[in-house]
Amino acid sequence: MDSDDALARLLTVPLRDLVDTRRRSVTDFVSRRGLETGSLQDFLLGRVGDGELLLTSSPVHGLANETSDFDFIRVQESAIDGPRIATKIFDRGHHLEVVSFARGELKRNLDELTALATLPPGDLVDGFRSWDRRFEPRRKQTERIVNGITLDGRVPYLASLPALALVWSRAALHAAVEQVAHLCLAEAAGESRGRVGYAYNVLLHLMDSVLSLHGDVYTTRKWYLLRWARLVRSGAWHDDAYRAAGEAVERLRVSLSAALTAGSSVRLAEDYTALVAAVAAATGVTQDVTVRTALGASASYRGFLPGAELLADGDAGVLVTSRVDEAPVALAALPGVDPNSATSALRAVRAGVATTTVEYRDRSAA
Amino acid sequence: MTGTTIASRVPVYPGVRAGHGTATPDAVRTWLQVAWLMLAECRAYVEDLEGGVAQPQMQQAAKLRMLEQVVDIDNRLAGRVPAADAHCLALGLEHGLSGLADATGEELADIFGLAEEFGGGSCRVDDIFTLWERLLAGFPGELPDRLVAQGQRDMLVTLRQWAELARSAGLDVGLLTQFMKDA
Repeated sequence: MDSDDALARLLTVPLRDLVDTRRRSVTDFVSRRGLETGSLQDFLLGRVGDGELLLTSSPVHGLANETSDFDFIRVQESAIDGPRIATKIFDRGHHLEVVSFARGELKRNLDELTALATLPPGDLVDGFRSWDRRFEPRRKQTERIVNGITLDGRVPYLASLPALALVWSRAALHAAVEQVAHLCLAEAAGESRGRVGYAYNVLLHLMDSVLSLHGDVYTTRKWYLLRWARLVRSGAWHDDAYRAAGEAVERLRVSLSAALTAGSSVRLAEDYTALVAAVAAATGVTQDVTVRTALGASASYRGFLPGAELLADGDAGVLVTSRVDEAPVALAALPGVDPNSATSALRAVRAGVATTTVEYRDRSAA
Repeated sequence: MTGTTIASRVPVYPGVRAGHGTATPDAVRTWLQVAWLMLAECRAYVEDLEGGVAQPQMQQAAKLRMLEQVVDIDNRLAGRVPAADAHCLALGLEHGLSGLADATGEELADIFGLAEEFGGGSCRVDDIFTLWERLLAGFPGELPDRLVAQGQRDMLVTLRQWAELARSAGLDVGLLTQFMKDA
């Protein structure tokens, strides 16, 4: 009952409607390819063995097109060892893929998801990013499973969607903060098109963050923009803060291509940092966000010439003409970053001798 | 040059044509990785662009991903430590390409049709296809197409060949594993 309440709060349509829509999308997708769900299930299980078969990815979300593949995940009762290689099946012009996981490891993953969703944003994102080094199914496949639908129209793991949505939203926001920091560094360093490259990704990650907390969670980046257009068209924002943030995303989205040719007289840093802050607030991040450029653990400066040092860490090195400022900077202060410091920081993060780290500080503790 | 598009005239694989040499293990590592990224990643994006004629917003996001991938391949061919994905779009648009093709950031923005509204109702992809066909035609060797059944068999033959090549340079063909896991 609790999970039904959480789902109802997350979704923008009644649960029954969402499941009906997904059921129809999947049936349409299968029949458009001249196939029938029952015989497809028998055919696939005959090839890969018994288990619970879930159709995943674009057909579930009503996004499939004529080149979309059939991506299946099969959940089996017994344990599996070793790497999970997808079985590729080419049959009568169709390209079908099935990858198998064990019920035990899936349950562990869903429990992990629930636990991650209770953590503060920094710890949550650490857990999200280290997921693939720790767990099978990997995080993308876990998302596919939660959203997956059986060929007879059941959604057995959808109760985990609220936890999935929160974790995916926080991870997307985190990526947007990193990218807006890079945007500010690039702008301060005098780049005109480079900052626009980061701006595209700020917008895409912000869209993903908002979409996730409207129940539309889907890992693949190529779909973010189309899903966003769908949400904007529906106007089904949860509240006014989301609506305002969504409208702000739209304003910057529409004007972005002009920034590519506008030259450096048009600044982006202030608008984009303000937008990230607005989405952070709308998605319920209550902490203050700070960013810093952190040198690698074994990074060192080595003298080269007066006014230039080699900043090296492991196998990578880059020449800098001033030292990287590693002090944390508040999100709102990023547009004011010093140009010399920005130039060095940008070189260091691009060369991989430094990373952009994001910290969340409780306001009450400040 | 009137009447030709930028995509049809930017030089491709300038380093190959010049005959620039690289230390053998670096050459083997680079070309195995580049070949894989071309045949797996770039080809998948091209398929997305072809399949998405009625989904311009998907095409727009997919072409940005493809541009990031192109820049990543360029970094490898130019012998750089590959920058993280997060920087590839910015690097390409600001600094252009020099390994995979000889193109400025402005030329890339033109080829990838970035002047149109991001997320608007149309998506220009013709010039991307032109560049892609030239990159395939100019690639040193024939890349298997793993998206079709015959290509799967070609891929197995190729992987056997690559394992031998890697061993000859004192490397393990496992250097491709990290990319295959993501495919």
